[in-house]
Order: sequence, then C-alpha cells, then structure tokens
Amino acid sequence: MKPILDWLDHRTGYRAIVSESLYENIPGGSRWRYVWGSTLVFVFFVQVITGIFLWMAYSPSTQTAWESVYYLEYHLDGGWLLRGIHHYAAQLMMILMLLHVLQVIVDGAYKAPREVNFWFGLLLMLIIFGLGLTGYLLPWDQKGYWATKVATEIAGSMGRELPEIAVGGADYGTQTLTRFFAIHAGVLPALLIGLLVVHLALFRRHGITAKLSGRREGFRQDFWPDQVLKDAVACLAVLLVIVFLSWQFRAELGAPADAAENYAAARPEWYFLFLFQFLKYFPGEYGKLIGAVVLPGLLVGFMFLMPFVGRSRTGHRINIAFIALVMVGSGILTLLALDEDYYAARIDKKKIAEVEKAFAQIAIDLRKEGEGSPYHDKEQAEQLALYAGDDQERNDLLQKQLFRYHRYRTSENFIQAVHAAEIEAARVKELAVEWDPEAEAYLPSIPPTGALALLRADPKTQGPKLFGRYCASCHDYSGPDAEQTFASIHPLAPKTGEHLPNGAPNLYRFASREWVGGMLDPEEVAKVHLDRQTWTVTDAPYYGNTNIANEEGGMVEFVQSDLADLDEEGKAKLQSIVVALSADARLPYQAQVDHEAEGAGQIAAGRAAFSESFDSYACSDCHRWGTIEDADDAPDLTGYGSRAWTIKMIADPAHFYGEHNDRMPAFNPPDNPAAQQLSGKNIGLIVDWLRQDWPSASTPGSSGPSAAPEAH
Amino acid sequence: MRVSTVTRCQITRLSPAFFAKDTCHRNTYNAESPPAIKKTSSPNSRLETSFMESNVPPPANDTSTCCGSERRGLLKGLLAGIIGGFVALVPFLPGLAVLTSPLRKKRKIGGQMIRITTLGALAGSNLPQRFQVIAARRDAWNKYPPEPIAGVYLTPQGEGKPPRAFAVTCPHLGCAVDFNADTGEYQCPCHTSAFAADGQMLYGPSPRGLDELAVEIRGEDEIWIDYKRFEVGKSKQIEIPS
Repeated sequence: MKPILDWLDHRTGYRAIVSESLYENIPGGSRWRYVWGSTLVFVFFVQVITGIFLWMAYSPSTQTAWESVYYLEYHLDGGWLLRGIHHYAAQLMMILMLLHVLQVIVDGAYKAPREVNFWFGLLLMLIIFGLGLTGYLLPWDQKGYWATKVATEIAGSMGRELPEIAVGGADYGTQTLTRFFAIHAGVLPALLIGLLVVHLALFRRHGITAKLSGRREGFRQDFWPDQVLKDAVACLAVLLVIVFLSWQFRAELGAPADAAENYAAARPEWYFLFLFQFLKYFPGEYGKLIGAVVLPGLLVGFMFLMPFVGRSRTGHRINIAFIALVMVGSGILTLLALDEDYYAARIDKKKIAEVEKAFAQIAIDLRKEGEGSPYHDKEQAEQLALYAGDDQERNDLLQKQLFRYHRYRTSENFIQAVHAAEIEAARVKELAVEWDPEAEAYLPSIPPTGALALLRADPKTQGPKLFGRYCASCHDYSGPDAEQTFASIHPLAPKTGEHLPNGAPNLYRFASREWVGGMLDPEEVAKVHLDRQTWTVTDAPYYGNTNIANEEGGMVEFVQSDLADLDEEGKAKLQSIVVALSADARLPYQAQVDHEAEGAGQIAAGRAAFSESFDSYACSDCHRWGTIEDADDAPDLTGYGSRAWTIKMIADPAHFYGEHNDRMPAFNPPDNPAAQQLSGKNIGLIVDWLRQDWPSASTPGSSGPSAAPEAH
Repeated sequence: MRVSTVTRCQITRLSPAFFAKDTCHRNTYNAESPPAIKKTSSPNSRLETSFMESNVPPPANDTSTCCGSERRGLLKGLLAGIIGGFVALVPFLPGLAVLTSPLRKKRKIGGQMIRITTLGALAGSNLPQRFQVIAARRDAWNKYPPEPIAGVYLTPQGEGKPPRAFAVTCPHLGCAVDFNADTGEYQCPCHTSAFAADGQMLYGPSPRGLDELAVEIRGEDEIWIDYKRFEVGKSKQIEIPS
C-alpha cells in the first residue's frame, strides 16, 4: 500500500493537501463556537446534492413545472423527503448564515487583515438570498408565483428592462421558469462555489479569529480531529433538524400558478417577510424603490464599509450596534408582518363589537332607505361619526375600534385565503390521479395541457366561485343546518360584500326529492321570512320573494289550494310525482334511490299521476313533461333540474318562464351573444356544482384521493 | 503560527501504522487535560515547538500518558470520520431512492390489443406496409389521449388470410427498420442488418429475426395486433413489461 501512496503523493502531493486541510492550527484549541462556518458549508453541500437529484425530476415550463414537482412529491419513492430536505435546508441556511454574520461582526473578525474575506462573505450572503428568491418560484404554485411576481416588480422600480430580462418578456411564463431555473441551479451555485473557495482560502490564510484568554493563551490544537469532531456533531444536529422538519411538516405544494386567480395568501418566504412588511410603509411611485432597493442597498453598503468603520474601538461598537439594530429591526418587522396576517385569529372580538354593531345598523339603514339614507356614499369614519351623533365619547370609541376593525377584516381575508388555497391545493391533487383498472392503482393522469386545466374544469372548486360572483346576490345556497351557510360551506367563494340573498330560491340540492317536495308543500312553498328588524330576507327557499310566488292563479296558489288537505291517496299521488319529477334531474347523488324507484314502478306511477287532477287541476293542465304535451302555459318540465335543463335556465330563463320570468337575467341569451355574461363552459361548471356532479374518490372510474399510493 | 512544512509524523497519524506504533507524540489536546509533552518529543514538529513556547503550566496531577491521549485522539478521529461520513451520505439517500424509482414500478407482462386497420387497406398488394400503432399512453405525470406510439409492418398473406405483423424495431439495437420494395428486404438504417419479408434474419449484426406480433381479425375485417415490446440485443425474445 505504502509504495502506491508514495507514488501518488509524488505525482499529486496529496499528503501536503490533506495535511494542509486537516492540520490547520487553531490557536486556543477547538471550540464549539467555531462550528457555524462548517455547518453552513455542510448545508450548502446538502443543497448541491439534493439539488442535482431534484434537477433530474424537474421540468421547467408552465405546463410541467408544477406537474413535475407534484410527480416527485407524490409518485416517486422518497421524493417528498428529497424535496423536504432541500426546502428546509434552504431555510436553515438563512438562519446559519445570520448566526455566522453576527458572530463575525461581534468578534470583530472583519478587521484587518480579514477585510477582503469579509467582503467575500457579504457577497456569499447576497447569493444565498438570490438562491432563496429564485428557488421559491420553481414549483410554479400560486404562492411562489405571486410572491416572486412582487420581487420582480420591485426590480422594475429600477427600470422596466431588468424584470423583462429576468422574466423573459412582459409576463411570467415558460421563459421565466427556464431563466430562473438556470440562475438558481447554474449561475448562482457556480458563483457561490467560486466565492466560497476564495472565502475558505482566505480564511485559512488568516486563520481563525480566536479570543485567547486564561488557559487558552498559547494553547494550540490542530483542526483534526477535535475541531472536525465538533463540526461533524454540529452538522449531524443540523441534518437531524432538517430531516425532522421534512418528515413532520411536508414541504408545501399549493395549487398550480394561475394569473387569473387572485391569491390573497401570497407571502414571501419568512426570511423576506421583514422586507415585505417594510414596503408597507413606503407608499407612492418611488416607495418600492426606496423601501426595497435604496434602503436595503445602503444597509448592505454600510456592511461593506464595516472593516473601515471598525478600525477604532468606537467604530467596532458602532458596527455591533448597527448590526444589532438591523437584526432587531428585521425581527420586529417580521413579527409585525405575522401579527397583521394573523390578527383576526388572536384578537378578542369584544374589541370590535361596538363598531361591528354600528356597521350592521348602518347596513340595515342603507338597505331600507337606499340613496335616501344619510349614510349613503360616505366614508366609514364619517358613517360612524354620523351614527354616534352628538355622543363624542361614543364616536371616539367607534373611531378607535374602526382601526382595529380594518386590521381584523384584512387579516380575516388573509386567513380565509390561506384556507381556500389549501382546499384548492388538495383538490388539484385529487384531480391529478385516475383509477387505472389494469394497474389497480391511482395513476397520475394530468392532461398535456397541465394541471391548471384540471382545476379550471373542476365544478367542485370553480362552481362556488362563480356562484358567489354571479348568483349569490339573489340566490341563497344553504343547507338545513345553521352552519351550512354559503360562505361557511364554500370558503372558495369570493367575499363580495355581505351575503344577503334577496329572496330568489335557495338552490341547495336543487331538484332533489326534498327540494321538489318542498316546492309542492303548501306550508313551504311561499315561505319568505323577512326580518323587519334587519331588513333582510332570511329564508326564501322555493319561490321566495319572486313575482311567481305572488301571481294570481299561479303555481303557489295551486299548491296552497289544491295540494292542501290531501287525503292519503292524494298524498301518495303527490309523492309519486315528486319522485318521478326529481328522477328526471338525474342527479348523481340520487342515482341509487332513483334507480330503486324505477324498479318499484314509482316513476311510472308519477308520470301517470301527472295528468290526474288533484282538486281542480292536474299538473298537465299547465305543464308539458316529456311526452305529456297537453298544455304549454307554464315551464316545460321535461328534464327538470337535469344538466341540460338547468344550463338552459341560466342561459335563457325566458325559454321556460316566458313573460313570467321575474328578475333572473339571461346569462347567455342564444339570440344575443353580445349580452353574454357567462360562457357556456362556466354555466356548465355552476350547474355541475349545483348538481354535485364532480369526480371524487367515491366515484369509481374517475379521480381518487391523491393519498392513494401508486402501486410499485 | 501556521504549519508550512509537513512532517512525517503528522502523516503517519492518519495511517494504520499509527494504530500499532507510537511513532510520534500527539500535539493536540483538549483544553481540559493539557499535555505532558516534553521537549524531547519529536523535535521536527513546529507545532509542538510552538506549544513548547507557550506558557501553559504543567498540570498538577497529570496521569495521562502519551498513549492515553493518543488513544483519545484516535477515538475522536474515528468518531469524526463516522459522523462526518454519515452526514455526507444522508443527502444522497432520498435522491437515490427517487432515481431508482422506475425500477420498483409494478409492471405487467402481456401485450395490449390494438386496432391497426382493416383488411381492405391491405388489398391490392402483397408487399409489407407500414402502419401506425395508436394508443393512449402515460408518461410520468401525463396521460395522453390516443396518439401514434409506434409503427408496425403488416404483410398480406393472400385473400381471406390474416396478415403477419412485424414490429419495426430492429432486434439489434432498436433502430426502426424500413422495408425496401426493390430488394424485398427489411433494412435497418443503423448497422445494416437485413431481414427477409417473413422476418427471417438475412445478414448483419442482429442476433435474431424481426419480432412478430400476433394478429387477430375482429368483426368483418378489422385487423388487431397484440402489441408488445421485446428486449433488443438478445438472441431470444424477452418481453419488456409495461
């Protein structure tokens, strides 16, 4: 062995290199406080290794970036751990870097002759920030997309060209991903390695900045093995923390980036939160330039000057004070940012009770009086002053609470957006797999157009959003239980002011048996609960507050006269009509009972009963229904509540209701494309959502839970 | 003080020889047990010289021998090596798991019946004709709608008889073969393997003839094949599970 090593040493001089690296002399001996630099190098090593493996799985384009990360995370063995380690190591790197910088400044390790090395360290710090920023975008999920957009807009305050080069055009797209990926995985790591080599070489040249006192005076030790052991133990601790975090808190993957969907939950990664908060205090056109470029630039600029400032004892103290100020300031800003976001979660609602009450009263008055209300078209502060009247004390209280109230609402929006984002993220992962009967497993089945297309075509998540935007100002959608209100069932619905349905039918399980039964129930049919106190319609389940309910000789009158006081036979007849009519809707969640009813002959009985008179009239005296074509005065009930019927109803209600149609707009009138408010596709999404007709884990043959493990 | 020269002594500390022989004295000590180094030890080492120049007082009750501290250093070195090796290894593990994921994927032997064309499309010629194999397929996270995934040659066998089907993949190294009507041979464009119209090996480096696929006539005249893929470079047909 020895001759071979001798030969090798003669050719390479490896012994000198090994010796040089291992037998670096440490004045004062090995110490735990020297481990930070080594842990930082170690974490960078972890990032390089995991990064290269991630590279083998990642595909940078708008149709594949999210998808490849999803595939890695959920369908490749160990992918979640690989990504988790990269994710958390990046964050730990920030912490370790801060500790390292702090230590260097506090110990005065930036002073002569180590100035140049200090500058290299600062450059390394900037590169690490750059890695964090560019890496955040790569999964191409909503969070990274919107947060990074802000960062590039900041760059735009220095001229449009900079973000356009970085982004590869005026808008975010595939070119943005290819560029960010190259910067993240190529340019910055190469720079970092280059600078790190110099940093370490210079460090070796000048040695460690030891503080020698007491018995450490004059005591020396080699790097190997004592310091190496300490470093190794520290690296092990760091690694354990990283693995633990990756294992316990899976790295997040939100819904795919969508430029068309607002994302109120967008926040930068926590280490940039201070800057995010800082920017709130710099309004105006040049605000972002000052807040995000000039001031941070000056700050880093000052750090570059530290070696000169620190020449004197006072100067060194100034440096320490400066870095302490920056750290404390950033810490406070970070806490403020978190506090503002989660304010609603921690505030005692009593503290805004008065102002909430006031606004509720003001809203009632506005509903009652409309433009005649004194509160009409006024700022909130003015409204409160009016509300308080002469009571100065009350006004003061309200104005004080108003500030909290604003913070509360902002924070509430944020928390709700986070919740909605979680729902969408979970949903898209459900949609991304399909049951494969041959493989007997859920296999990823994203169309080549990408996962966003899946989400956009999903009634379960898109339905409530569209309903909230286009329907909820008139229609209610709430279940029998108090907590089943539209907003609480569907956090995805946009919060367009207060949800106060003004009396159009409640469409919760529209056309189901209960719904049709209620519509033909004399007790329920015209139920309109108007709360005279709050001036709101609290309940208008079927005909509600529409003209149709009030019409002479109309449906409601028929139900209330002919269908009241039915004998047993009449009740059975009515029930069979309900069953048959509801079965026409072909609701997926009712398929089983409809099928049973068909077998039991109930549907045929219902069809027969349709033409039989109750007290004075039969249904068929006014309505058409399939082959029963005796009359044409009232809506055609053929396929009532079915997908086609409901789509037609939304597109063009006059088709069914003619001149009896109340205020229901034609959202897609066939003869007037210019008046289209909703595309056929979007109407289809609303209808499918109303019919609860969406792929779910319980529908065999369609999508299943992402949790279902892929067979290997 | 920096070490600019490498002493033999320092190198041997790394080598197995160090285990056996007390060739030099340790010059590293932890702060808690200062060393009991005498001037006589290893005069070549500048490190120790520097230590000698220090003013560390000799320990009051120094019981550690040179070998005891050596053993401690060895233990530390061993421990540092083990822990260091472990932490450096861990980041590779999930990466290797990801990388080798495809090998653990459950796959099945047995082809897929795919409709190729109709008998009518083959009428009027006795020469092999190339058709596309069209099927839906999965690739990583994607599921593609039906699209061409491969090619197949159908050779008419006369009126009323099903044609024979040959995969276009050359069994040598997987290039796609073409049928040359002039010579009546399948020719591989890569390494000039050639096959007869009935798929038999004629000349060239291919270890076997063209892979024949089972043909089934469904309905009146629909031609279906049992689409399979086989490992190349083997003299026997070995199906690749999909």
